[in-house]
Amino acid sequence: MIKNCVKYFKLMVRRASLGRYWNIALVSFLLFSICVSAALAKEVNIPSRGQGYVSDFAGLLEPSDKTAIIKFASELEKKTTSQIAVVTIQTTQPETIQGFSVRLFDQWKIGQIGKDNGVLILVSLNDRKAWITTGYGLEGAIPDVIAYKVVQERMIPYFKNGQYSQGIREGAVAIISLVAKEYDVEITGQEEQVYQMVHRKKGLLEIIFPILLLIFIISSRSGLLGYFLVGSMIGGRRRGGYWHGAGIGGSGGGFSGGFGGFGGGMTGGGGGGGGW
Amino acid sequence: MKKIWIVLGVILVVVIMAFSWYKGGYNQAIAKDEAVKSAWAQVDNQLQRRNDLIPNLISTVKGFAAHEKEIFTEVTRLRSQWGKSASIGSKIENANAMGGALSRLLLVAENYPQLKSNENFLSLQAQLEGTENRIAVERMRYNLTVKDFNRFQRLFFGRFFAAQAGVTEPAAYFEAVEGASKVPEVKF
Repeated sequence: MIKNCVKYFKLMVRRASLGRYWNIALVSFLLFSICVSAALAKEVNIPSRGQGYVSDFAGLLEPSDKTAIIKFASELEKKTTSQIAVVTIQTTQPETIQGFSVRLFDQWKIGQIGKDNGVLILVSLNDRKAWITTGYGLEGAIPDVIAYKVVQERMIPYFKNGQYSQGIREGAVAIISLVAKEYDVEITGQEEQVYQMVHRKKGLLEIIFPILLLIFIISSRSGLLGYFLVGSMIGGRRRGGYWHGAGIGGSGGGFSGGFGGFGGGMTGGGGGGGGW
Repeated sequence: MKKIWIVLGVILVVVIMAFSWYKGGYNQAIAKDEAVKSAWAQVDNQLQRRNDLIPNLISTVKGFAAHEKEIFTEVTRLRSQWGKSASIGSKIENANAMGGALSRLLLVAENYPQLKSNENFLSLQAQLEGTENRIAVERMRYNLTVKDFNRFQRLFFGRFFAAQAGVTEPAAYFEAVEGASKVPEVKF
């Protein structure tokens, strides 16, 4: 593309110098620069700005899911100032999804300046990859492993069945809950509904430990101590899921704008994801 | 008498101008040098973070692939070498070697299905991947500050001001080695 630009430019210059048509030279120079910038823009292939909380460039989202995500995201921003961007795209090639995510994050500046509390959820359809990128300020709320798990356990199972809209919504809700939890606020939406972790696998220890404990209690016959231990264990279990209990849910409706542009946040490249 | 005042006035103006010119250049050199240093500190943090993941990673992989000794010794050797390397140049060299060794380690892990489905390993791999990405980001930001500083140093008088600020050498770029920057694909 650039090569063609140069060829064209040379041709014009030769014609201009032959006939001393300086205006032609000028015009061709202008055309040349437009040509080059167009070529560069094509190589860079980053949308210059987002469409708010959700930028569905690949057209994967159902209107109802999109509205729901926007509603939760705007409620989250109102309560915490944190900003979520959900982006779908056809492909990030020739770049990796990680590199593309960071560049997009830097360009849009998701999150508030100084707080760096933005999160980007990027789904690249043709590369079959999803990646969550956290701003500097949310690396504690969403460690890499958790970002990885949100993608692996909340999004990819749906993506495998082609239910992109559902998977993206689940992922966005999980991330929004995590951020809400970090700021100690509740995101309500309209209908309340507690989310359970869908694909939480029980480790071997988790299965064996209660049995051992039971044996221990029975054999030691110290009813009170046993009651105490079991009680605390059950209590621990109830808080088990990482993003459990943030109380987000419900369908869309009644959403009223509210997005005022991204606020200047930065990312250090933290996050996680995977392919399907 | 009047002449003396004029001459004195001109000298004063020249001195003030020279001083403010010197101050401006000197401060700029210091600011750019500090930018390089703080950007490097970020890179250093992330490299350290990667190295901190290694003992866990090795012990996990060892549990399934004990006989792949070669790669373990190399990673361990590089890690201890990291502690000894003082200059930015040697740290960059070490980091690149480590990047290569780690991607080989993960490649080895590909041959062990049990390892690949191990929860602990998966979580370490996710952390490693996030860290590699952080390194890439901080490396890019560091290189931008290096570019800015080195450009300044090559300007007319730039070298002089840089020397005044205590830097005589251009700052070192952190060039990623082909392949080292690529974390092996995570596939399940």
